[in-house]
Amino acid sequence: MNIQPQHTICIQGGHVFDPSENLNAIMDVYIENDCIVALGTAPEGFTPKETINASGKMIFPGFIDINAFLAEPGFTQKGTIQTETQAAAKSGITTLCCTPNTKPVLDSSAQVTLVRDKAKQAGFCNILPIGALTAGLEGEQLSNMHGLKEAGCIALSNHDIPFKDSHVIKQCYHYAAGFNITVMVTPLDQALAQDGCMHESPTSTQLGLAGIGESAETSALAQHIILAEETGVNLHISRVSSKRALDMITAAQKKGLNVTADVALGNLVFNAEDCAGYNSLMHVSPVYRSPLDQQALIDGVNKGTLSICSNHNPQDSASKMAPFAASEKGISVLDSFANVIFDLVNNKTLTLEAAIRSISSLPAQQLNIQAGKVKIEGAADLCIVDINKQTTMSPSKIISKGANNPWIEQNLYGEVACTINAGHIVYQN
Amino acid sequence: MNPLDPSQIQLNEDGRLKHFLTTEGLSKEILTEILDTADSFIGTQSRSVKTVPLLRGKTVVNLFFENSTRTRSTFELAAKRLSANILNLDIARSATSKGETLMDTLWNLESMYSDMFIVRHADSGAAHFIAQHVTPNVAVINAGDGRHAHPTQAMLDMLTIRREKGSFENLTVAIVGDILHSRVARSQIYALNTLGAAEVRVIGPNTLLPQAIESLGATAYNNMEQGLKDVDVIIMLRLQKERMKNALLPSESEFYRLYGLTTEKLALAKPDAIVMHPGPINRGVEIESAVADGPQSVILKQVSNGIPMRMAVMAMAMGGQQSGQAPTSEPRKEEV
Repeated sequence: MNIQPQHTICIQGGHVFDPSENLNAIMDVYIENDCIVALGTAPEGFTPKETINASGKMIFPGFIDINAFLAEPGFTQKGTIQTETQAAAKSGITTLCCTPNTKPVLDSSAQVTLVRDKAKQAGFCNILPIGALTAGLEGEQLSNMHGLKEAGCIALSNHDIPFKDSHVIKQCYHYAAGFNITVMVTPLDQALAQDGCMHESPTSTQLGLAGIGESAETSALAQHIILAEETGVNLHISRVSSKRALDMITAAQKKGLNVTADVALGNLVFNAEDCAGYNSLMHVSPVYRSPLDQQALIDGVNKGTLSICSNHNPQDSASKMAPFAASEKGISVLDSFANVIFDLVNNKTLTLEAAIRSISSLPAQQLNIQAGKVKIEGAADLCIVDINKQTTMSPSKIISKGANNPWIEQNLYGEVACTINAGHIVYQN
Repeated sequence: MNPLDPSQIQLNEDGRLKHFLTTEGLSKEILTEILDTADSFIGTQSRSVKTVPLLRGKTVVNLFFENSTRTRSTFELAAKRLSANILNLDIARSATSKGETLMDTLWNLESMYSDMFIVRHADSGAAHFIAQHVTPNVAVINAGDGRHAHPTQAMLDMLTIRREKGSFENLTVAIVGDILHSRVARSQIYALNTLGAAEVRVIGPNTLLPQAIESLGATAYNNMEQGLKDVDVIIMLRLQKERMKNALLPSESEFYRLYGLTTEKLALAKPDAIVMHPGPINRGVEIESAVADGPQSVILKQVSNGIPMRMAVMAMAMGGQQSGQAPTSEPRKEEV
């Protein structure tokens, strides 16, 4: 047995804020090894090896991102587990769920173990992979769901790859329900979406770009909700994009179904009108919809229905240097995740309470993750932020390999001062 | 100023045209100047020596990522009549099919010190993309991008309308057929509204009308009889055969019955209404031969106006490039 040296930290004078634990006061935080051992008063005989001065700053639970593409294995020109998790740590993220659409896909326990090992070596975040729901993500055969869960997958998903037919969806849900496996899905009826690349709207007509109507999301969602009800699976709707879809999810929850949901950060910030001028950074999946949809999603976060994920999708510069529809989808988010969130708080789009809940206790509850709280004997996953300090997203500070960050050169509120993961300082400004 | 604003990217610091990408956002003055310039070239076309030396020593590259013999030929002829050197690149079959990216192709061409790119591409926004990322002193002329814009076609249509009708005031114009996939229709709608047409109507089945077409400045009609009532100009669009697939239309015969321009339907328009078509026409699909060849048809005049219009925009864009900024000696590379 390894005997670890005693490792102690005291964070002094910070404003601890965790709505899920009713914490909202200036107090010291005492950490021993990977645990929080006391709040406010030092435990007897506690001598900190390290002291962090957090006065004037806020202390939050380490953030949880439940949907990020890390690009490794298979696409290391776009990103690696090392670079992308380091970018996440810079944004205060201590727990990250990575998507299975790598090459090879995360459909075997060996691949899942490999990703987790690489993440451990990198040492920036706790990685909880999302495994493939179907073998090879081909949408035809069930994956080894139970094996994937045992290997450490927090949920299973087919990501953006369509299922062969609705029978496969039902069988996946049926099987997963028996082992209490959470399934994540981003509803999209491919036949209705066709070759669309943005929200069907006056802007798509103006630009002459093929649009994806809201019905492509909602008609598929209706099917997923019906199958979830029938099979009893825990269904997490990932990256909701329209008001109507959110209304359907709220109705399903009122009915008592195990249906939860998140929204991608970008969908809170941008809408279809931002595609004007063919800005390929606005080519994303799911698409940015109308300003009304955007506002409904913001309201959904403030009401506590939606958690927020990064939907991080790093691309090399050549992938975005093409006409809109021909460019690769997605934006690089992790470097700016915390700044964008605190900027939304600063401009009163989100309340501080809703913002923190939506990236800590709520996603933890949705996917049954043992993290996201500041509490005694809980994991020492913390993030220290100066929420009133503006920072410029200068390209030299970007850690992700993704060249597709839409916030470059913008001034945003909220500077992460320090990120602590399992008692280790993994980022310090 | 938003650098991505379509009207801004086309103009130099003095507000003169330096690229021609879309009719959207251009002022009435600029569109009128284009028409006046084209008008002035019409006279040169019937002379025995048809060339003018405006683009002497300049290199114009026809960059056609989509095949189009007709449009490419008119640009080639227009460039030659302006005394430019013209290079035709059949990109559709060469570089990009070998895996070279669009950017690599462009940077290669830039390194050969070209002065103007005439671009046709299947992706909406391709011409904007090229204008944003090539050296600042290369003029870009959009010869059709996806469903988005085909501004030289729209402007030669405007030239034809002005020469037939004198002005745009009090004109009601109907555009008929596949509006959804038509880059020509979008460019016409913007140009007609800016030039002061009283009303622009688009006529077609719902499956061929884009969402919120009203936001571009057009009134939608499903019923052709209602839509054609008392119009001054009828613009028929070409119906691509592949539209019968993919559940857009039931059949050619039903389309012709509902939206084909026949002598009877033409009688619903004003007696002096003109009939236009960007070509090539599908006789018996969107238009009856008797109408296409009839006294109200100006289809061949549109074709004749194609050369002077293309000469006009090429000459103006090259002028805008030269007056707007000093030429740079080295090709410039941009990053995202």
